Amino acid sequence: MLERVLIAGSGGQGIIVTGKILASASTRTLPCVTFFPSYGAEVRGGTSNCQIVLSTNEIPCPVPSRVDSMIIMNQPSMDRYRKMLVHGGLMIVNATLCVSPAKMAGTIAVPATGMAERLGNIKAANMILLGVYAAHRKVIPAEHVEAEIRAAFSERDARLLSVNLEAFRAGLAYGRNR
Amino acid sequence: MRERILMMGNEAIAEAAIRAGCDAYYGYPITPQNEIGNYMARHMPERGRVFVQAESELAAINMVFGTAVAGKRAMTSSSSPGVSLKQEGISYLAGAELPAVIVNVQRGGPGLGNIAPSQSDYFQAVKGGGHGDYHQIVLAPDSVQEMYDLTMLAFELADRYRNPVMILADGRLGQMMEPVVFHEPRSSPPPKPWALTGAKGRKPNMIRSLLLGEGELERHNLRLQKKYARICRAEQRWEERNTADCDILMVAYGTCARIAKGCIASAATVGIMAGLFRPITLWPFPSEPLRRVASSAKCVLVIEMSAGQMLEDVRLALGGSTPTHFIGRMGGGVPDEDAVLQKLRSLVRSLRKRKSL
Repeated sequence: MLERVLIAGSGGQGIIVTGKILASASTRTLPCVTFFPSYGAEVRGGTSNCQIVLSTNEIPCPVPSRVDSMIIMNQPSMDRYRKMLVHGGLMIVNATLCVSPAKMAGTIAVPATGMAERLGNIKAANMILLGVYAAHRKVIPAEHVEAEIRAAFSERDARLLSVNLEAFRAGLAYGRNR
Repeated sequence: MRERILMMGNEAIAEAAIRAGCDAYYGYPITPQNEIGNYMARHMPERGRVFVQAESELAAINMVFGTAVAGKRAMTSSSSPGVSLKQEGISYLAGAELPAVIVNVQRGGPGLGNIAPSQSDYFQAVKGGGHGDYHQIVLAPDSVQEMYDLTMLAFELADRYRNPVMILADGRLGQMMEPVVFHEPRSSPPPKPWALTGAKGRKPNMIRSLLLGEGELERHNLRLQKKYARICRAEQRWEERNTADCDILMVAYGTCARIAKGCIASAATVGIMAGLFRPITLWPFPSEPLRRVASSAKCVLVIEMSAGQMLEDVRLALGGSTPTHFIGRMGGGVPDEDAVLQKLRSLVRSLRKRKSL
């Protein structure tokens, strides 16, 4: 099994934390996991991305040139990275912020920012998309992702944790109904 | 199964240093290794140990000197431009025979360069970037687990030989996360009767690198060279993959070795028998083992993120016995699997052509 994932959007959308949660959750069941962030001069509003590779075998390169799945949170990221998706790959798009979601097969458009706003925190759009991803690519059990969300947010703020969990579950439900 | 923690390479170095009993960390921030200082700032004081964000790289390496001279374990870390600034201090550490661990998470150069991964500090690390006839032991990890393991080993070797040890990593290894299994050091730090701990009840110790007496410095150098020869005999480390019956032997370390590992499998699917020789100690360079392994290959391909620096040591080791080729990127470029595979194909084509002539 080899699953290469790209998560991309703008700085402040929680791109890195989403990738870390996915990677951490995967270490519970998979022997080989890598996470690689874009690093350096990232600022809020700039671009941000990370790549995660999940595998049953040794992973030679943590920065693959092609990916099997992508979670895209804004239009510039879609324009820039869509060509990296393999034929038949899965693209999950934040339709609220992407004016022209690609009309490629395998694209799932989710109004994530709008959904997150209704849940009470616009910044939880990332967890909605992660939920949709978990529902579609059954590489890792949803309860493992939930455990990592708890680990990531529980120390900071109970309210923050609950909205992120709620968002993840909303994404799961959205994904399962599609 | 032992617990596996998903960790960034930089953090793995810091955690290993703490578990190895590093008493003091000194550093000055620079990307892409800031997570080391960040981790140390959080965890060293809570254990009652020393963390200092120094005013410069020069200050940091000299603080390391001060801690080492007092018999305590010390580490500093930086990235390429910052490591250049530390060279004088490393020469002094080598001259005074002081144990220390220096981490270089390399980035693109020369000059301030950029913040992308690179391997262009190989010469500086293995040939002695500072002045004088000295060597530091250079360890080259290729995974986050090895960032941990080799940092632990670095403290051990530094004390065993009273010599600076460098971890030569790169931005990709520093920034990537992988699962790590922690283990404890194999032994506790050895006694250091030579340390400057206050001469109460004993003869005073003297540690210096300024030796002005007649013939004194030459005798010191001869002794150092004997020590280096001892290190060369005892401490060469390397990894072999698929070397038994390969046509093309790839030689790569660190990030490039990871890419080469991927190429072994993809080359096999197109009928190319490729193997990998990965030096883990860059100094001492495993010359003899490389010569032995390369003797059965038809040619050698060196892969680096530089203009071809380790390539020189490979050629020295092989002495022209096996044709040696090179593929590399510079300035933050990383060779990808496709490019290496293409090179392997073209080498195979020319091998076949030569055979048919």
